[in-house]
Amino acid sequence: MSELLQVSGLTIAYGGVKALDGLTFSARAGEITALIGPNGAGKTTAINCVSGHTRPDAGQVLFNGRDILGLPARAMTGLGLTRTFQHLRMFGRMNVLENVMVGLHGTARAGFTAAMLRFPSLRREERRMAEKAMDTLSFLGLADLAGRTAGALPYGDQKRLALARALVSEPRLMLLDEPVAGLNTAETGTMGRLILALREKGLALVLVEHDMSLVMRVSDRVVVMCSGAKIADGPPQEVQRHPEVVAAYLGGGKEFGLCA
Amino acid sequence: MNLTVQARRFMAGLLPLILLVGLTPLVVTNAYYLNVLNVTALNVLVVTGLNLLIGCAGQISLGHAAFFGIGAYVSAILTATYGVNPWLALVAAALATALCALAVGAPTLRLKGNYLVMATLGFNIIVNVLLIQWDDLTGGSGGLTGVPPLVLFGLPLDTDYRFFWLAWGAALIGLLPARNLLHSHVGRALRALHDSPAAAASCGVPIEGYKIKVFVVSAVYASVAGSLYAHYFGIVTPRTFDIFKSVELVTMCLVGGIGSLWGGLFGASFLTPLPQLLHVFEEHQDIIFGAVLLLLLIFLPQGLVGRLEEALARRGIGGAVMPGDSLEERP
Amino acid sequence: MAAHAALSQYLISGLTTGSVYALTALGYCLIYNATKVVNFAQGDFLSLGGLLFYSLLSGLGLPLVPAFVLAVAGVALAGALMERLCLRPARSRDLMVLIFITVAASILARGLMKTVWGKQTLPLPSISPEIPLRFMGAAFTPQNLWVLGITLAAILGLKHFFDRTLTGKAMRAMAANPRAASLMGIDTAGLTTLSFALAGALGALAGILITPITSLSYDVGVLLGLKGFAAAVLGGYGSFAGAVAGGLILGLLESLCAGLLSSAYKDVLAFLVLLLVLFLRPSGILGVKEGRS
Repeated sequence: MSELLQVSGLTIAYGGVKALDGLTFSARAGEITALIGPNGAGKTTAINCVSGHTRPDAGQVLFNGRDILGLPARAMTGLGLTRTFQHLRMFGRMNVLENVMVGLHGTARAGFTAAMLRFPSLRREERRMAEKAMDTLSFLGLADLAGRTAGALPYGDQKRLALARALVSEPRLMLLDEPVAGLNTAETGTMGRLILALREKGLALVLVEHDMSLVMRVSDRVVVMCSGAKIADGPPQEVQRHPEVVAAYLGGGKEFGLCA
Repeated sequence: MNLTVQARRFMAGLLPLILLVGLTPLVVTNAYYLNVLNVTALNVLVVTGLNLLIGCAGQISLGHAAFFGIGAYVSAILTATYGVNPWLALVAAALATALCALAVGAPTLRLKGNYLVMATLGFNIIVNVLLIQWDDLTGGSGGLTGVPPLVLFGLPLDTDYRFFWLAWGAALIGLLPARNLLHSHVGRALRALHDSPAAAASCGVPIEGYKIKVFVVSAVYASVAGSLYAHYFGIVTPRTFDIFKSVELVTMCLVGGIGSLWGGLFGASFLTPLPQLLHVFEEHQDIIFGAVLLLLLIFLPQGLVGRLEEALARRGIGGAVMPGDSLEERP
Repeated sequence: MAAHAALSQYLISGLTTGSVYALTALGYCLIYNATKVVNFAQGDFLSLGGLLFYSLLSGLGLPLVPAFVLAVAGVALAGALMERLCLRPARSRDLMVLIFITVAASILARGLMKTVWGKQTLPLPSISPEIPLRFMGAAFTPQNLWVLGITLAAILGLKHFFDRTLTGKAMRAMAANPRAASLMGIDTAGLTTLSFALAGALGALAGILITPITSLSYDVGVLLGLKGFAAAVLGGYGSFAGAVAGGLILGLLESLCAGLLSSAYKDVLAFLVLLLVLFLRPSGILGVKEGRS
């Protein structure tokens, strides 16, 4: 299987501190690639560079063979690349269905005037979007909540809603920033199963996560980062035995220690 | 709640309103009250546009009195001085206003932060001074007189009663495109935008472009109201379009409920006659007006209608057109 | 040497109004740095300062210095009260709502001032007798010197406050990061009130200094306040050095424009500058550059 996402040499410094230092990794369709490392290792920065929210100082991001570095964030969904955020960033005052429909914005053809005058083409499009959004909600077990205000949902449901919003446009690659942070054990289990189901659909997934048991259970490949650089890369079992990783994790518990 | 239900609910709210407006002239025959109602309708039109901007783009304009004024003056000058057909003048005025809005909005709406408030405030003052100083064209501080009335199907709309139908017709019809926009992908995107720009961008929303377009549209609402104003009163004076008028317009949005179309309708209908009512108190008018506004903003920041919509939504009867509680990003 | 004399004349009158804009702009900065709120009542602090000073002098017959001190203290108190009574209890933390609370406070304040002092123009005496002075061919009065001197003293006092005193440093810390400052045990609520009080005091100074030159009435601060706002934007909103520079530049530009071009359009100039700055360099001449969204 070929690489869908190839990231190489990503470097970014904030006032002399290197947040990313020549980071190189890749992700394949139908695989889950996890980015792990202690706080401040640069995992979220890496995702932000890929999703167009942060512009790195140097490096290359190839998506499906095309250089996407420098494209604005809003262009990504059209290419088939979506993401979720560590801090949810739900559209709290809209209902659940509307939140997911925003995820389809990139597919809308009708313009400003059509929207104001509610042309038939727009109505058809609205119906298509609503149906598509409902399908996605059903897939994630959120269909019953479609009419609820997003901001008022329990945290666990909001996390799944964030997933729905990223999934609805049928991306080929999804970047997940800490999808189970703050969830209880049962909710984490559900989320893990959903992530595996997405892999079954053939999506490429890049997972940033602190929950090691989840990472080790679902990942096909694990990239270990420290101080903005990669220190190990491989299948979970191999990475776990990697001496530098063991050192970085001070014994390999769930808690992260300082870098070696 | 699905979208067609929202649309039906909006229409269900609109129908009694149409009925109410339709019956009003049967009861209210006093020219003075009709005049206040007509001005109210024009304010409703401006506030609807302004609410689109505030509610959608999360930006305040303190320049809408200027757009209102540009509409009025372009219409007045073209018809009174150059004899152009009033309807044609109205369209020309709207185009001119749109260009001005583009010139002010395009550079400032690309920036983070509330630069639009500052720019529109400056713009309003400049326009106001120009209206006073450029007296060859505008008639100076005395204003421009002799603006002909609008003619609809051969009928000149030269009485308060006749103009009532046009003003309220425009105000109610003006609600529809605004409502349509709010409940389309564009409206959702704009609302998404002020909850989280980063997430909206990830969903493919062209942020700056939408903000600029909605600003231009809202300025055009003000312009059309201004043109109607000029033809109704037959005279335009600079004082009508100063910075305090802009503040008053934004206040109408805030009192009703930020970004809520019903709220704007209510805010304009409540605040337009208020100074007339307060006229009884003459000297203390500003104190009462300021105090009422202050108390509302401190204790009822979601606005009167916004509060009602929230209460309804909590009971599940819901359907805030756009709840207007906090515009800050949630943590 | 008529041209030379005219130029020094423009310079003196420009620096005088510029000083007042600078004081006003500093008031905006103080409140903005503490709360991110644009205080639309800043101009009313000017009016109130002038009016209080007038009443203390003419009404109560106080000597100059106590009247001056009491007027400044009175407006500082008004500023603090505005924060405590209007902004602190606000149910919403939304900036738009907070900004409009200051607009409402401004309307209310103007209404109250109109009721107390009436609509007419009041004769506020200058600080010292009006002896015509000449310098480099330009005519001016001691009031011009008072404006420049007191403004300079106020700026130096502020600089000392922010650079050398613990409270001033705490205020800067709060402006940089309110949450962190609060976690470090800084009393952010108290400092916010203090910021409003200081902004009120600066407004009062500006009002007391300029109204003998312009005129004094309940709404004199409106236009001066808006121009001070333009000066703050020109300098870089929130930057103290920028506020001073912006105020002086604006004052000079205005006086040059009035003298060389047309006094009819003098009042537009500040706002043309405001728009130009926003279009070309929204961070102002001395502000911290903010990224494009």
